[in-house]
Amino acid sequence: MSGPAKTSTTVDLYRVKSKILISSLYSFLRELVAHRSAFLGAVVVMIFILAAIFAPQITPLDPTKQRLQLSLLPPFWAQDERDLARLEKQAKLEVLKELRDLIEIDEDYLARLKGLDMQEMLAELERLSGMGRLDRKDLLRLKDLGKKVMVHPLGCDRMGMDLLSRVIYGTRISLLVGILVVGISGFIGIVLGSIAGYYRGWFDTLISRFCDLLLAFPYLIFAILIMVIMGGGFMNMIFALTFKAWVEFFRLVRGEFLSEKTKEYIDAAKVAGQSSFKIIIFEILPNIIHSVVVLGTLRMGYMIIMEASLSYLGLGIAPPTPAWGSMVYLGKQDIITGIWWTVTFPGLAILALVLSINLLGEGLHDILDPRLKVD
Amino acid sequence: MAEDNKLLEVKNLTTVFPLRRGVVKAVDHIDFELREGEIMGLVGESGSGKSVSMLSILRLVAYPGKIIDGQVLFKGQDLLQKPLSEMRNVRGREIAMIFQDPMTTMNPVFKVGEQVRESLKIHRIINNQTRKFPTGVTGAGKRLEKRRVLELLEEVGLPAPAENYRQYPHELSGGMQQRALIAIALSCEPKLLLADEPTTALDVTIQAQILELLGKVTREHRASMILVTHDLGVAAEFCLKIAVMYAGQIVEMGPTGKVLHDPKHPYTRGLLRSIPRITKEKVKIKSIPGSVPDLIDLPHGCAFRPRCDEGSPRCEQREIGLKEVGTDHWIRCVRYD
Amino acid sequence: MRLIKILERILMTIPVMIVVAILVFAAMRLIPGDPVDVMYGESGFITDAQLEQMRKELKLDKPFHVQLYLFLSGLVRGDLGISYTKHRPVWDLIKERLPATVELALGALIFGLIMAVPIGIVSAVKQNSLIDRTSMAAAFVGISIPGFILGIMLILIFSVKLKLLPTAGRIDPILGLKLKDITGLHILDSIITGNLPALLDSIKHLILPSIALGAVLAAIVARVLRSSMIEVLRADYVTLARAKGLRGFFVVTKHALRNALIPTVTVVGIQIGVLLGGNMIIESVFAWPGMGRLAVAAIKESDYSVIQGVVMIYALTFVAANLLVDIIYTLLNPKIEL
Repeated sequence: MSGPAKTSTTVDLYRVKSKILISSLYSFLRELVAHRSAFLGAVVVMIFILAAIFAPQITPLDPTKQRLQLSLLPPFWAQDERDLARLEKQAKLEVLKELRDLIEIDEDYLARLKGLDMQEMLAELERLSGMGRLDRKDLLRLKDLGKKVMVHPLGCDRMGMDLLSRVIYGTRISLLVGILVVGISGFIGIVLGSIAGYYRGWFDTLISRFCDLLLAFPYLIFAILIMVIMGGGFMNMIFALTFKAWVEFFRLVRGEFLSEKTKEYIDAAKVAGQSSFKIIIFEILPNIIHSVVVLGTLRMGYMIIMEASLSYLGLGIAPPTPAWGSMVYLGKQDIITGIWWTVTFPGLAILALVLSINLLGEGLHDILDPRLKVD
Repeated sequence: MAEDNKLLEVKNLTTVFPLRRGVVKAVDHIDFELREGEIMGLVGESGSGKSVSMLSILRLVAYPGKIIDGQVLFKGQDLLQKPLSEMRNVRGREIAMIFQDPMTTMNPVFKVGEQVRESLKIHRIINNQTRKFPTGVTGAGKRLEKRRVLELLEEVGLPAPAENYRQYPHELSGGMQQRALIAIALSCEPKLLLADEPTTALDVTIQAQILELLGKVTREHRASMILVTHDLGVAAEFCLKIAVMYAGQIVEMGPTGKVLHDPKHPYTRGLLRSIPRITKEKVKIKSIPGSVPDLIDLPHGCAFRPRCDEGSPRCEQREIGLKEVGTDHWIRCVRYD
Repeated sequence: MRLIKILERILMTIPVMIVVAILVFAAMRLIPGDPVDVMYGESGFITDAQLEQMRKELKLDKPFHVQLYLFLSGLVRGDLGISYTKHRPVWDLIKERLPATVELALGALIFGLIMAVPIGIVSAVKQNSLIDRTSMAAAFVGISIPGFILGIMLILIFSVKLKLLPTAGRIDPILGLKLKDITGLHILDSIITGNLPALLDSIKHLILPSIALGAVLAAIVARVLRSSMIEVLRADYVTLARAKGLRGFFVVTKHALRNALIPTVTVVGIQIGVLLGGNMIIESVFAWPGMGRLAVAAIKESDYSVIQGVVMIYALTFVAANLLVDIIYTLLNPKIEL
């Protein structure tokens, strides 16, 4: 018998390792629930994630549809008589337009319908349906449309776009940016950091020098520079943000590798004949992944803030795509006249998301990095 | 015993730490006395409450610790009742403390000379009047302060006082740092020195030197000292009397010779038995089984009972007090109660 | 000796600055299209021959390394090129607006530190007290809120609803005309010339932007200072200081604080980058007539010359600020082997 063959013992080892992983996952989840602020953060983040996934189902209206009649409509508790009148007029308009597309109506009847108020009009439509001229399904749809347009809970922006729908849809962009940027830069950082930390040599020096150079630029300035070169838009923004974000992960992973390399279990693995590649992935990485997770979570909030800031400057996501930063960009000009809702709701949304991500991140830090626990 | 020249009288001193998981009784009703010029050894394992007792005397126990009972009579006055402003006059000036690890006890950002000088400044030892010191140094104000510091540094055996004055703590070796800390302690000529394991963090070769220095300065300054240590040998050599602490209580106390040659308490006996000795015959080192108890979860009655090989059911029945068994020899054990 | 080491550090930053300048220059050249097209492409009144002539003038027809050399040599002389849209030297444009940016940055820095240092100290000394918990909660919110949102909220509350403070700008235009320009910093100038109305007005304009820009700095510094103070207060040398009979206040400020500041200073250095980046945004929110706003406008107009100049100034300032922080750190910490 010669050489390090993959014996049944090796396979059992992996099975044991995964069992340990599962049980530690369970205890981790238990600790997470026990940590009050982290749990709160996790719950709120989950809510945001669900909102992002199910956005089409839960938003009342199309987030990019402009209803200029409803421009700068206040939120429902601040709507006055005139606002309600506007809403009713708009709702009737849309319902009737839909109706015209569905069935044949002569102009007089249409004019008569226009004269009715919302309630009466809907009653008429019921009648029509009863008479068989209007499909039951379509009737329900029209009633639904009417109701939705009548209620714009958070009001509208300058272009008459429904704020509630836009805030909900904005979750998608923010979360996507956060996850993508952290994910990609984390991956790059891990790969480069583990190679640099494990093998050292010219690769390490080269990348480290490059990092030092990148660090000479303030983060936002650098992102702006890249976006100016490449133009705006979602993908370019991801690129711009990732370009500098990986440096932090790189340094962390590299540092951890440097200290882990001196430990004995590495020698043990080498003696057992494991290849360097396997050592990196199966031995060292599992031991340091928790700090990467903590760092990733803590930076995610910052990335979301960056995205909002870039969109606010007009560089990132452009209107009318619903993104919180660009919503603030659109609404800023009107605040002097006291129109606060166009900027406040997206602002609060950003704050809530970032706050809960940070809570979660700090909680993860307490749980996963016990040696750094103070008092 | 003469009632006068009792420098320090500690009665019933109790210090606790209320933690989330329970209340830790770090110091549990300890009593002892110290006369002028006496050196007393306070011996015990880590966690026995020795350091906290010392800190309690100066009321320096860190939050959340609290002194909840007892009296600390220094020169007849109860320190625990004094207002804080008066206490500050006692600290450093009448009672000085020397800590265990010199590297962490000196402030890394200030020069050594500065730190010694600070004591003089705090207690205004040197006002703008000229003063004459035992060595005959005279002068005034700042220059006098500096000269006094240099004098002190020389007294504690630092080889190059002028240079050391200008250096930062990390530039000195452990032994030299400890000497400087002794200089700080002596600067205001206190009557009582509390030395909390002053040599534990030092090399063995330096330990003897520092202890000798401590002995010398206490003699020369006619001060008393409580020497806290876990090393019986050290206590044997320098201390006139010894108090043995276990789990926050003094379990045996008396003149050094008596306690070490005729120990009455099982714990003391156990400690002595576990000291390796160079003898002709091969003797097995007997260690005391078990470990120091969690100070929250103390057993009823005698705290040593779980580890004691001479115990009986009576030991668990009630709290046992210190009883005198010989001249000045006190024991806390049910057999003498 | 220490001074020599400090000089060494200063000299070492020069190559960094050069590389930064080269990078920015190269980055701008990566933009597709031609500056001349940007400037005049749309107008249609200009013939191709004239465009070519302009390219020659701007030396855009020369190869890259020649352009780079011209750029760098111009840099040394303080020549940053000409603005494409305003047709003025970039450096002049920057010079006009620099004092405003400096004033805002100083305002934010002062606000941040004045808030953070006492709060950090008190929170550490009175750990878990009400003041500790509220200030740490506030600090946590501070790091979770984007600067521009905070700025806008402040405007909504204090300017629009409460009408206490102005909504934008740096000074009332009439008062601004009457103010003599000595340093360019309105507050300083009004103090020097004894112009009370201008002083009050400038301060009123400076408050909200400084808070919006300095809040993140305050939050982070307060947290870091608190945690390093907590650690320091546990140290033996603090107990010794008390054992010497030193009053509590001095124990904290003399012994503990200096040690706690050492790791804090490093963090401040990192945060200066955030300050510089946020500067652009806050200037935009408050219509503050500084470099940041110039940059934002330049971005919209695709005035690459100005963008290049401003980005370079920001980057170089960051390098210089880090150098300063480095020096302060070295001075504070005697353990640094000099």
